[in-house]
Amino acid sequence: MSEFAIQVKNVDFSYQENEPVLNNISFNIKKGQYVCLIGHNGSGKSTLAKLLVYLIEPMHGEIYINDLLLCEENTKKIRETVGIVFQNPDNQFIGSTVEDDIAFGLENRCVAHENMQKIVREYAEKVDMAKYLEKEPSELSGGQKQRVAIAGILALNLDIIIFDEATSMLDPEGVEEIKRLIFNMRKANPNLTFISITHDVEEAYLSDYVILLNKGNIYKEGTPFEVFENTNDLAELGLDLPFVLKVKKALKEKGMNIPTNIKSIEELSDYLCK
Amino acid sequence: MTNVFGKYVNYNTIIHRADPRLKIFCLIAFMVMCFLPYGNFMNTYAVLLILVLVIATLMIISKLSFLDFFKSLKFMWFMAIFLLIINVFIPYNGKTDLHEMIVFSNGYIIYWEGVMNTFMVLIRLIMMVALTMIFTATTTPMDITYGFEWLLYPLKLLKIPTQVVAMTMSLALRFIPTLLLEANRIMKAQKSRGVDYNRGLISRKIKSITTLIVPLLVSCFSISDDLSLAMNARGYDPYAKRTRYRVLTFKKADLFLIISILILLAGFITISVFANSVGINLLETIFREIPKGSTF
Amino acid sequence: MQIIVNNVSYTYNVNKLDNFEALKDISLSIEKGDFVALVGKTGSGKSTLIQTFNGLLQPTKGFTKIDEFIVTSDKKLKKKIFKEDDLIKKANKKAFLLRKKVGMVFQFPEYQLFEQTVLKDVMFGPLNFKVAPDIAKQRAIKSLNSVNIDESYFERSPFELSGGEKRRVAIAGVLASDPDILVLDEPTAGLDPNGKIEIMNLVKKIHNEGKTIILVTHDMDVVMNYANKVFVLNDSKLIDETTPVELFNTKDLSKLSLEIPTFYKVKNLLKNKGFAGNLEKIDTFDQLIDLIYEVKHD
Repeated sequence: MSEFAIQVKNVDFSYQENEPVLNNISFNIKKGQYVCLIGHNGSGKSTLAKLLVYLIEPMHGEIYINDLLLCEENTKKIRETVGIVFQNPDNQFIGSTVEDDIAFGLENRCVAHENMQKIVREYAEKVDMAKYLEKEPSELSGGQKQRVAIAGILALNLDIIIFDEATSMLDPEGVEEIKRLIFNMRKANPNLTFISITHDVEEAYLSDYVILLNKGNIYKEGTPFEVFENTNDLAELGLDLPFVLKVKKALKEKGMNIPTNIKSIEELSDYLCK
Repeated sequence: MTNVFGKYVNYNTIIHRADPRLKIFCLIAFMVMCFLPYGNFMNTYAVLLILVLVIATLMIISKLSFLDFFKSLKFMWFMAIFLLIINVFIPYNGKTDLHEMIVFSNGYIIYWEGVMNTFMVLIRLIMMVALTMIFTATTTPMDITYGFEWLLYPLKLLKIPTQVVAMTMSLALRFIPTLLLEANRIMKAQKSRGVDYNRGLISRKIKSITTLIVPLLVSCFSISDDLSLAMNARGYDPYAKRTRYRVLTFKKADLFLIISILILLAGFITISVFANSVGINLLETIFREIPKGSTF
Repeated sequence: MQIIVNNVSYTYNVNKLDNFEALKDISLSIEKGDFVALVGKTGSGKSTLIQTFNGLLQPTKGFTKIDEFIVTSDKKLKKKIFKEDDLIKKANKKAFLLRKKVGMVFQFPEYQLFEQTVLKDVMFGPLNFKVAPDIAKQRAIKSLNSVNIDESYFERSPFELSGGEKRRVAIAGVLASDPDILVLDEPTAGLDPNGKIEIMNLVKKIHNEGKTIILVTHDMDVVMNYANKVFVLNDSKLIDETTPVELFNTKDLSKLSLEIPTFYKVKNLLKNKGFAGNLEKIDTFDQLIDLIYEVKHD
């Protein structure tokens, strides 16, 4: 067993000829890390997510998850290792009620009926949806639907979970709910490898590892410090600067340095009020 | 609770709790009872009256609103007029023993029989609507699909993938509300661009409809695209074995239901056979004093 | 006043058991040339309110007045207003022109595209409002230019475009009717930071051309950077009418389930932790940086 949860080796992908979406991409993700994949719309992030969960196949190159090569024969094992939560809360709600939707993946995995009841209840509770088991999707908010989708993934007890812009269609309240849930989810299972595909640079700034995509290539990868502090052209890549970094840069121009270990606005304000 | 026709209404009644497979069977049995021939008009109306009472009782038990039911019958008007025209104006050639209702100056005659026939068909149709409404209002879409899938089971022997049919059906039911919302949204956007869905000439109306249909199709495709990815990612394989979160189990109450429906069915078949083959007026045998054909 | 909302209430499913009062006795007014933000959590009534501005929904009580147009379902009230003012009565005979005056960009407007070509789709609105075809075309081209859609796209199918491009075409489709008032419901939803800035700069440009902008949004950064007036809705009621600076400085936003812009989060943190400078008049990023430098540079 290697230390990597995901290994991507020289992967190419295109939907149409001569229009490569991903171009010779290689990277590794360590087990148990919180990784953010960032980049503008059309940079190939979502395509990459689909490749990682084997919904599409690379034209060239290989992808391994937990040392398992992604290929037709391994489909079943792949589905037992990695799961994904998509952007649109409505379009991934498969069951006709909350409980049916949480159970969907379990049914596919042929979990016995008696156990299923218990598991569905347990995970509905984890995402705080136990009160809504019999509700239909049209009676739920976007945030609630996403929580159901997350429960459906968590119930499968996977090693790797990918969020493909899972909060981008939600209102601030929904976003908050999901962020809290991610925090709890990682706390409960430190071995979980969590990959978030996002526009939110504030989130990426606080993650373990950042991969910055631009036009189908990896523009930069590394710790948030490496990616953000040393990239001067983030705006041209369609991304904001994290607020703390904006402050740091503006002050640096005036000749004042803020220590690099300050990342969150709480740390910043503590430092400034010392 | 407003009840859109065919929408599940969440109450906890004995009918709601009944096994969906059984409910489908009851639905079919009742339809058979509605459409069995019961001899002459007098008999038929008498039997249909009993059926109407039974169905009305079922509606009360399942807590359906009669108001909503009558509202949902609006679309029957067109049908009623159509039936009336056909039944009243077809000439009853060669038949004797008819009863004249109106005789026109040009010699055309409208018979009581025609009018009576129309009402008979209409009552039967309304009962069908009521039955389906009771069924869909007391059975969740998921249960309906499960019930149908079970009933389709024999087709499996013919290598027809019934589980795929059932999944397709349940997804269709699941996405109806979503698409309705979507259609509403699109209509509002187009109205804001000056589309008037209510007025205008036919050519303009056709254009108005395209402004709704095209975007709706586009979102249908994008939904199915997303949905298939989501299902695939969660390990769905249409042809593989799956377990079930919901398992249908026969309860004691169901046994009671099935016995009563069987008795009821048997009873109505007997009446039908009796009234037809023996060729006597059923009511007359019961109430001998009613003179033959006094009204009809 | 260009828009007057007078004691407006709106109830969905009136006379039914599951009725829901989405607006409760709301009164407000918007002046010509305003850039207004309507904020409040999901379900607070924002979307219902804007739909009364172009008559998609008619207030169950009270009325909305947009220039000379009156929107209400209260017939007595309507009669009374018409009796008092003949001009209004005349104008309301052509009620469909209200939809031309008030351009409405809904959430995810890209779903309203339906024509074979981009140009035709953008011309659709003006043609509906009885604009002559050649003028409609001119206007369509003008509005496509203003949303930065290149001429090479005009004859392409709108369904071939990327998400951001589709949205801009849809907005052009509303602009082409030359509305005086532009209402936008979450125009930046689902876009990346660049796309957001692009759309908001476009809205700003339209505002600079003298149009009234009404924006429904959850994005407080947008409110902070663009709006000059804010209406806060909560539980179907109008609870505040204010300016962005005042809203973020003095109101308790968490109570209204509104997100606080990062800038004000930091400002509040500094205030609470006893920052050694005077934060009172600090309302832009540059001011904050200058203050920090002043206080800390030694």
